[in-house]
Amino acid sequence: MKLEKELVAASSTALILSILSEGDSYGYAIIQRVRELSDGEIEWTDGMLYPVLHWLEDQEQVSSRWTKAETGRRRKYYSLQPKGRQALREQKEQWTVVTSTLKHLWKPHHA
Amino acid sequence: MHNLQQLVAEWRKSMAELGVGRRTLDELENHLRETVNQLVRSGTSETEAFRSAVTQLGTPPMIASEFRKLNSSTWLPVKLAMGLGILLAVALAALLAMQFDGRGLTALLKIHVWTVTLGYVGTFLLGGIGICFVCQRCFSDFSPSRLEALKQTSFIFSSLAAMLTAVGIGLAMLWAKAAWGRYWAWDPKETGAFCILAWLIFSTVIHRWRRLSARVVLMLSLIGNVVVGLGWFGANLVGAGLHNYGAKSLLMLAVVAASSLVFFVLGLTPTGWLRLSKG
Repeated sequence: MKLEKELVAASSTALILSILSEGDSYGYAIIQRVRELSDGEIEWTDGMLYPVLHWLEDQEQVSSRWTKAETGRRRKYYSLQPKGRQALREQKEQWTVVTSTLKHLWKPHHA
Repeated sequence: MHNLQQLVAEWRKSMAELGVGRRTLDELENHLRETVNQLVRSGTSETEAFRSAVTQLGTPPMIASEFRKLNSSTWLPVKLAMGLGILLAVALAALLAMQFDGRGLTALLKIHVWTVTLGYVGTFLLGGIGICFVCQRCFSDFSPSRLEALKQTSFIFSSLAAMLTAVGIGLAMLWAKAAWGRYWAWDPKETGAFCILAWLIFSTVIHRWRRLSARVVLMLSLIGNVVVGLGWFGANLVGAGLHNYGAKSLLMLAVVAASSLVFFVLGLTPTGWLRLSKG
Protein backbone atom coordinates (compact mmCIF):
# COMPACT_ATOMS: atom_id res chain seq x y z
CA MET A 1 0.00 0.00 0.00
CA LYS A 2 1.32 3.38 -0.89
CA LEU A 3 0.06 6.33 1.14
CA GLU A 4 -1.42 9.21 -0.79
CA LYS A 5 0.96 12.08 -1.43
CA GLU A 6 -1.02 14.51 0.70
CA LEU A 7 -1.09 12.14 3.64
CA VAL A 8 2.67 11.54 3.40
CA ALA A 9 3.27 15.29 3.40
CA ALA A 10 0.92 15.85 6.33
CA SER A 11 2.32 13.06 8.48
CA SER A 12 6.04 13.38 7.75
CA THR A 13 6.84 16.08 10.32
CA ALA A 14 4.96 14.18 13.03
CA LEU A 15 6.87 11.00 12.16
CA ILE A 16 10.26 12.70 12.02
CA LEU A 17 9.79 14.62 15.26
CA SER A 18 8.56 11.48 17.02
CA ILE A 19 11.56 9.45 15.86
CA LEU A 20 13.94 12.20 16.93
CA SER A 21 12.26 12.32 20.34
CA GLU A 22 13.63 8.79 20.84
CA GLY A 23 17.16 10.09 20.27
CA ASP A 24 19.39 11.76 17.66
CA SER A 25 19.33 10.19 14.22
CA TYR A 26 20.25 10.74 10.57
CA GLY A 27 18.29 10.62 7.31
CA TYR A 28 18.89 7.05 6.26
CA ALA A 29 18.16 5.66 9.72
CA ILE A 30 14.98 7.73 10.06
CA ILE A 31 13.64 6.25 6.80
CA GLN A 32 14.57 2.73 7.93
CA ARG A 33 12.79 3.28 11.22
CA VAL A 34 9.60 4.46 9.51
CA ARG A 35 9.68 1.48 7.18
CA GLU A 36 10.24 -0.92 10.06
CA LEU A 37 7.51 0.52 12.29
CA SER A 38 4.93 0.60 9.51
CA ASP A 39 5.87 -2.92 8.31
CA GLY A 40 6.89 -1.39 5.03
CA GLU A 41 3.44 0.14 4.50
CA ILE A 42 4.72 3.73 4.58
CA GLU A 43 7.01 4.03 1.56
CA TRP A 44 8.57 7.47 1.28
CA THR A 45 10.44 8.62 -1.75
CA ASP A 46 13.74 8.86 0.15
CA GLY A 47 14.80 12.22 -1.24
CA MET A 48 11.64 13.89 0.04
CA LEU A 49 12.71 13.42 3.65
CA TYR A 50 15.68 15.78 3.42
CA PRO A 51 13.83 18.96 2.42
CA VAL A 52 11.53 18.34 5.40
CA LEU A 53 14.51 17.90 7.73
CA HIS A 54 16.05 21.12 6.42
CA TRP A 55 12.74 22.92 6.82
CA LEU A 56 12.51 21.73 10.43
CA GLU A 57 16.02 23.01 10.95
CA ASP A 58 15.09 26.41 9.47
CA GLN A 59 12.20 26.49 11.93
CA GLU A 60 14.70 25.68 14.73
CA GLN A 61 12.65 22.62 15.63
CA VAL A 62 15.71 20.42 15.13
CA SER A 63 19.43 21.12 15.02
CA SER A 64 22.08 19.26 13.06
CA ARG A 65 25.75 18.38 13.32
CA TRP A 66 28.19 16.43 11.15
CA THR A 67 29.92 13.53 12.84
CA LYS A 68 32.29 10.87 11.66
CA ALA A 69 30.65 7.46 11.41
CA GLU A 70 32.49 4.23 12.22
CA THR A 71 32.83 3.66 8.46
CA GLY A 72 34.88 6.85 8.22
CA ARG A 73 32.17 8.68 6.29
CA ARG A 74 30.68 11.83 7.76
CA ARG A 75 27.04 11.69 8.75
CA LYS A 76 24.62 14.50 9.47
CA TYR A 77 22.83 13.85 12.74
CA TYR A 78 19.67 15.68 13.76
CA SER A 79 18.45 16.29 17.27
CA LEU A 80 15.16 17.58 18.60
CA GLN A 81 15.10 21.14 19.99
CA PRO A 82 12.65 22.69 22.51
CA LYS A 83 10.64 24.24 19.65
CA GLY A 84 10.40 20.82 18.02
CA ARG A 85 9.25 19.25 21.26
CA GLN A 86 6.49 21.86 21.47
CA ALA A 87 5.52 21.24 17.83
CA LEU A 88 5.44 17.50 18.47
CA ARG A 89 3.07 18.00 21.41
CA GLU A 90 0.70 19.97 19.20
CA GLN A 91 0.93 17.43 16.38
CA LYS A 92 0.21 14.63 18.82
CA GLU A 93 -2.96 16.33 20.04
CA GLN A 94 -4.18 16.89 16.49
CA TRP A 95 -3.44 13.37 15.28
CA THR A 96 -5.08 11.92 18.37
CA VAL A 97 -8.26 13.85 17.62
CA VAL A 98 -8.28 12.64 14.01
CA THR A 99 -7.53 8.99 14.77
CA SER A 100 -9.93 8.70 17.71
CA THR A 101 -12.73 10.29 15.67
CA LEU A 102 -12.13 7.88 12.82
CA LYS A 103 -11.97 4.99 15.24
CA HIS A 104 -15.37 5.89 16.65
CA LEU A 105 -16.85 6.09 13.18
CA TRP A 106 -15.35 2.83 12.04
CA LYS A 107 -16.21 0.88 15.19
CA PRO A 108 -17.99 -2.36 14.26
CA HIS A 109 -21.65 -2.06 15.27
CA HIS A 110 -22.79 -4.62 17.81
CA ALA A 111 -26.33 -5.21 16.99
CA MET B 1 34.55 0.70 -6.61
CA HIS B 2 35.94 2.97 -9.26
CA ASN B 3 32.73 2.55 -11.18
CA LEU B 4 30.57 3.58 -8.20
CA GLN B 5 32.77 6.63 -7.63
CA GLN B 6 32.12 7.67 -11.20
CA LEU B 7 28.38 7.09 -11.00
CA VAL B 8 28.16 9.12 -7.80
CA ALA B 9 30.21 11.94 -9.34
CA GLU B 10 27.90 12.08 -12.37
CA TRP B 11 24.84 12.08 -10.15
CA ARG B 12 26.31 14.90 -8.02
CA LYS B 13 26.98 16.91 -11.13
CA SER B 14 23.42 16.63 -12.38
CA MET B 15 22.10 17.65 -8.95
CA ALA B 16 24.53 20.58 -8.66
CA GLU B 17 23.42 21.85 -12.05
CA LEU B 18 19.92 22.09 -10.66
CA GLY B 19 21.19 24.34 -7.89
CA VAL B 20 21.45 21.90 -4.98
CA GLY B 21 24.16 23.06 -2.55
CA ARG B 22 27.29 21.10 -1.70
CA ARG B 23 26.48 20.40 1.94
CA THR B 24 23.09 19.06 0.92
CA LEU B 25 24.71 16.94 -1.76
CA ASP B 26 27.11 15.49 0.82
CA GLU B 27 24.14 14.46 2.91
CA LEU B 28 22.24 12.96 -0.03
CA GLU B 29 25.36 11.18 -1.26
CA ASN B 30 25.72 9.56 2.15
CA HIS B 31 22.17 8.36 1.87
CA LEU B 32 22.80 6.89 -1.59
CA ARG B 33 25.91 5.10 -0.38
CA GLU B 34 24.15 3.62 2.63
CA THR B 35 21.39 2.33 0.37
CA VAL B 36 23.94 0.93 -2.10
CA ASN B 37 25.87 -0.80 0.70
CA GLN B 38 22.68 -2.37 1.99
CA LEU B 39 21.75 -3.68 -1.47
CA VAL B 40 25.28 -4.92 -2.22
CA ARG B 41 25.27 -6.85 1.05
CA SER B 42 22.12 -8.64 -0.10
CA GLY B 43 23.81 -9.67 -3.32
CA THR B 44 22.99 -6.98 -5.88
CA SER B 45 25.76 -5.79 -8.20
CA GLU B 46 27.13 -2.34 -7.45
CA THR B 47 25.86 -0.74 -10.65
CA GLU B 48 22.42 -2.24 -10.21
CA ALA B 49 22.39 -1.19 -6.54
CA PHE B 50 23.28 2.36 -7.47
CA ARG B 51 20.52 2.49 -10.05
CA SER B 52 17.81 1.37 -7.65
CA ALA B 53 19.18 3.63 -4.89
CA VAL B 54 18.80 6.62 -7.22
CA THR B 55 15.27 5.55 -8.18
CA GLN B 56 14.35 5.21 -4.53
CA LEU B 57 15.81 8.64 -3.78
CA GLY B 58 13.70 10.34 -6.46
CA THR B 59 14.55 12.15 -9.67
CA PRO B 60 16.98 15.08 -9.41
CA PRO B 61 14.46 17.68 -10.72
CA MET B 62 11.89 16.56 -8.15
CA ILE B 63 14.33 16.75 -5.23
CA ALA B 64 15.79 20.04 -6.44
CA SER B 65 12.35 21.63 -6.70
CA GLU B 66 11.54 20.58 -3.12
CA PHE B 67 14.75 22.22 -1.90
CA ARG B 68 14.08 25.35 -3.93
CA LYS B 69 10.82 25.82 -2.05
CA LEU B 70 12.90 26.18 1.12
CA ASN B 71 15.11 28.94 -0.24
CA SER B 72 12.39 31.12 -1.66
CA SER B 73 12.85 34.16 0.57
CA THR B 74 15.84 36.45 0.12
CA TRP B 75 17.31 38.21 3.12
CA LEU B 76 16.22 41.87 3.20
CA PRO B 77 19.76 43.40 3.22
CA VAL B 78 20.59 41.34 0.12
CA LYS B 79 17.50 42.67 -1.65
CA LEU B 80 18.44 46.23 -0.66
CA ALA B 81 22.04 45.83 -1.84
CA MET B 82 20.88 44.42 -5.18
CA GLY B 83 18.35 47.23 -5.61
CA LEU B 84 20.92 49.91 -4.78
CA GLY B 85 23.43 48.34 -7.16
CA ILE B 86 20.99 48.32 -10.07
CA LEU B 87 19.79 51.85 -9.30
CA LEU B 88 23.35 53.14 -9.24
CA ALA B 89 24.26 51.33 -12.46
CA VAL B 90 21.35 52.97 -14.28
CA ALA B 91 21.85 56.43 -12.73
CA LEU B 92 25.57 56.46 -13.44
CA ALA B 93 25.02 55.28 -17.01
CA ALA B 94 22.51 58.10 -17.54
CA LEU B 95 24.85 60.69 -16.01
CA LEU B 96 27.80 59.58 -18.13
CA ALA B 97 25.67 59.43 -21.29
CA MET B 98 24.58 63.03 -20.73
CA GLN B 99 28.21 64.19 -20.66
CA PHE B 100 29.13 62.20 -23.74
CA ASP B 101 30.56 64.32 -26.58
CA GLY B 102 30.47 61.69 -29.32
CA ARG B 103 34.21 60.98 -29.52
CA GLY B 104 35.40 57.40 -29.39
CA LEU B 105 38.11 58.08 -26.84
CA THR B 106 35.62 59.74 -24.49
CA ALA B 107 33.33 56.71 -24.82
CA LEU B 108 36.20 54.52 -23.68
CA LEU B 109 36.77 56.74 -20.66
CA LYS B 110 33.06 56.88 -19.79
CA ILE B 111 32.69 53.10 -19.91
CA HIS B 112 35.84 52.81 -17.81
CA VAL B 113 34.38 55.11 -15.15
CA TRP B 114 31.11 53.16 -15.21
CA THR B 115 32.65 49.71 -14.83
CA VAL B 116 35.29 50.64 -12.25
CA THR B 117 32.85 52.63 -10.12
CA LEU B 118 30.36 49.76 -10.14
CA GLY B 119 33.12 47.29 -9.34
CA TYR B 120 34.21 49.35 -6.32
CA VAL B 121 30.67 50.12 -5.19
CA GLY B 122 29.72 46.45 -5.59
CA THR B 123 32.50 45.63 -3.13
CA PHE B 124 31.11 48.20 -0.69
CA LEU B 125 27.58 46.80 -1.11
CA LEU B 126 28.85 43.33 -0.26
CA GLY B 127 30.63 44.89 2.71
CA GLY B 128 27.27 46.38 3.69
CA ILE B 129 25.68 42.94 3.60
CA GLY B 130 28.61 41.76 5.74
CA ILE B 131 27.90 44.51 8.30
CA CYS B 132 24.20 43.56 8.48
CA PHE B 133 25.25 39.92 8.86
CA VAL B 134 27.61 40.41 11.81
CA CYS B 135 25.06 42.68 13.51
CA GLN B 136 22.14 40.28 13.18
CA ARG B 137 24.40 37.41 14.19
CA CYS B 138 24.79 39.01 17.63
CA PHE B 139 21.08 38.52 18.23
CA SER B 140 20.05 35.35 16.44
CA ASP B 141 21.31 32.39 14.45
CA PHE B 142 20.95 32.13 10.69
CA SER B 143 19.28 29.04 9.26
CA PRO B 144 21.52 26.69 7.26
CA SER B 145 19.67 27.30 4.00
CA ARG B 146 20.02 31.06 4.47
CA LEU B 147 23.74 30.68 5.17
CA GLU B 148 24.13 28.64 2.00
CA ALA B 149 22.24 31.30 0.04
CA LEU B 150 24.38 34.07 1.59
CA LYS B 151 27.59 32.38 0.57
CA GLN B 152 26.21 32.15 -2.96
CA THR B 153 25.23 35.85 -2.89
CA SER B 154 28.67 36.79 -1.66
CA PHE B 155 30.21 34.83 -4.53
CA ILE B 156 28.00 36.58 -7.09
CA PHE B 157 28.83 40.05 -5.72
CA SER B 158 32.57 39.31 -5.52
CA SER B 159 32.81 37.84 -8.99
CA LEU B 160 30.74 40.62 -10.57
CA ALA B 161 32.84 43.27 -8.82
CA ALA B 162 36.05 41.51 -9.93
CA MET B 163 34.87 41.30 -13.55
CA LEU B 164 33.71 44.92 -13.68
CA THR B 165 36.95 46.13 -12.11
CA ALA B 166 39.04 44.00 -14.50
CA VAL B 167 37.19 45.29 -17.56
CA GLY B 168 37.41 48.84 -16.20
CA ILE B 169 41.16 48.61 -15.69
CA GLY B 170 41.59 47.08 -19.14
CA LEU B 171 39.70 49.95 -20.76
CA ALA B 172 41.67 52.47 -18.69
CA MET B 173 44.93 51.01 -19.97
CA LEU B 174 43.79 51.39 -23.57
CA TRP B 175 42.69 54.93 -22.87
CA ALA B 176 45.90 55.79 -21.04
CA LYS B 177 47.95 54.54 -23.99
CA ALA B 178 46.04 56.82 -26.35
CA ALA B 179 45.88 59.86 -24.06
CA TRP B 180 49.07 59.68 -22.00
CA GLY B 181 51.22 57.46 -24.18
CA ARG B 182 51.59 54.59 -21.71
CA TYR B 183 49.43 51.68 -20.56
CA TRP B 184 50.49 51.53 -16.97
CA ALA B 185 52.81 53.50 -14.70
CA TRP B 186 52.06 52.45 -11.11
CA ASP B 187 50.90 55.89 -10.05
CA PRO B 188 48.95 55.85 -6.73
CA LYS B 189 45.55 55.41 -8.40
CA GLU B 190 46.78 52.62 -10.62
CA THR B 191 48.49 50.86 -7.74
CA GLY B 192 45.28 51.19 -5.74
CA ALA B 193 43.25 49.71 -8.60
CA PHE B 194 45.72 46.86 -8.91
CA CYS B 195 45.44 46.06 -5.20
CA ILE B 196 41.64 46.15 -5.35
CA LEU B 197 41.55 43.82 -8.35
CA ALA B 198 43.99 41.42 -6.70
CA TRP B 199 41.84 41.41 -3.55
CA LEU B 200 38.62 40.86 -5.51
CA ILE B 201 40.08 37.94 -7.45
CA PHE B 202 41.37 36.41 -4.23
CA SER B 203 38.05 36.82 -2.42
CA THR B 204 36.13 35.40 -5.39
CA VAL B 205 38.34 32.35 -5.81
CA ILE B 206 38.27 31.59 -2.11
CA HIS B 207 34.49 30.97 -2.30
CA ARG B 208 35.24 27.77 -4.17
CA TRP B 209 36.87 26.41 -1.04
CA ARG B 210 33.92 24.44 0.26
CA ARG B 211 34.86 24.41 3.92
CA LEU B 212 34.72 28.18 4.15
CA SER B 213 31.52 29.23 5.93
CA ALA B 214 29.23 32.11 5.01
CA ARG B 215 30.45 33.83 8.16
CA VAL B 216 34.07 33.79 7.02
CA VAL B 217 33.35 35.03 3.49
CA LEU B 218 31.13 37.82 4.83
CA MET B 219 33.80 38.82 7.35
CA LEU B 220 36.25 38.95 4.45
CA SER B 221 33.86 41.35 2.73
CA LEU B 222 34.58 43.78 5.58
CA ILE B 223 38.29 43.63 4.73
CA GLY B 224 37.14 44.33 1.14
CA ASN B 225 35.69 47.63 2.40
CA VAL B 226 39.09 48.63 3.77
CA VAL B 227 40.95 47.58 0.61
CA VAL B 228 38.60 49.53 -1.68
CA GLY B 229 38.64 52.46 0.76
CA LEU B 230 42.44 52.60 0.62
CA GLY B 231 42.68 52.00 -3.12
CA TRP B 232 39.95 54.48 -3.99
CA PHE B 233 39.95 57.34 -1.44
CA GLY B 234 43.40 56.60 -0.05
CA ALA B 235 45.12 56.80 -3.41
CA ASN B 236 43.77 60.31 -3.88
CA LEU B 237 45.38 61.41 -0.64
CA VAL B 238 48.91 60.35 -1.57
CA GLY B 239 48.85 62.67 -4.54
CA ALA B 240 46.66 61.88 -7.45
CA GLY B 241 49.29 61.70 -10.18
CA LEU B 242 47.55 62.16 -13.48
CA HIS B 243 44.19 61.20 -11.99
CA ASN B 244 42.86 64.43 -10.55
CA TYR B 245 39.33 63.44 -9.63
CA GLY B 246 37.46 61.58 -6.97
CA ALA B 247 36.83 62.09 -3.31
CA LYS B 248 39.85 63.42 -1.51
CA SER B 249 38.78 62.90 2.04
CA LEU B 250 40.80 61.47 4.88
CA LEU B 251 37.64 61.50 6.97
CA MET B 252 35.78 59.25 4.53
CA LEU B 253 38.67 56.78 4.43
CA ALA B 254 38.99 56.80 8.21
CA VAL B 255 35.25 56.21 8.69
CA VAL B 256 35.14 53.35 6.18
CA ALA B 257 38.27 51.64 7.51
CA ALA B 258 37.56 52.10 11.21
CA SER B 259 33.91 51.01 11.02
CA SER B 260 34.75 47.98 8.90
CA LEU B 261 37.36 46.88 11.41
CA VAL B 262 34.94 47.36 14.30
CA PHE B 263 32.35 45.21 12.50
CA PHE B 264 35.04 42.65 11.72
CA VAL B 265 35.79 42.31 15.43
CA LEU B 266 32.04 42.05 16.08
CA GLY B 267 32.03 39.11 13.65
CA LEU B 268 34.46 37.28 15.96
CA THR B 269 32.02 37.28 18.87
CA PRO B 270 29.93 34.17 19.56
CA THR B 271 26.54 33.86 17.86
CA GLY B 272 23.62 35.34 19.79
CA TRP B 273 25.63 36.86 22.66
CA LEU B 274 23.37 39.93 22.68
CA ARG B 275 20.19 37.88 22.61
CA LEU B 276 17.83 38.78 25.41
CA SER B 277 17.59 35.79 27.67
CA LYS B 278 14.07 34.43 27.74
CA GLY B 279 12.32 34.83 31.12
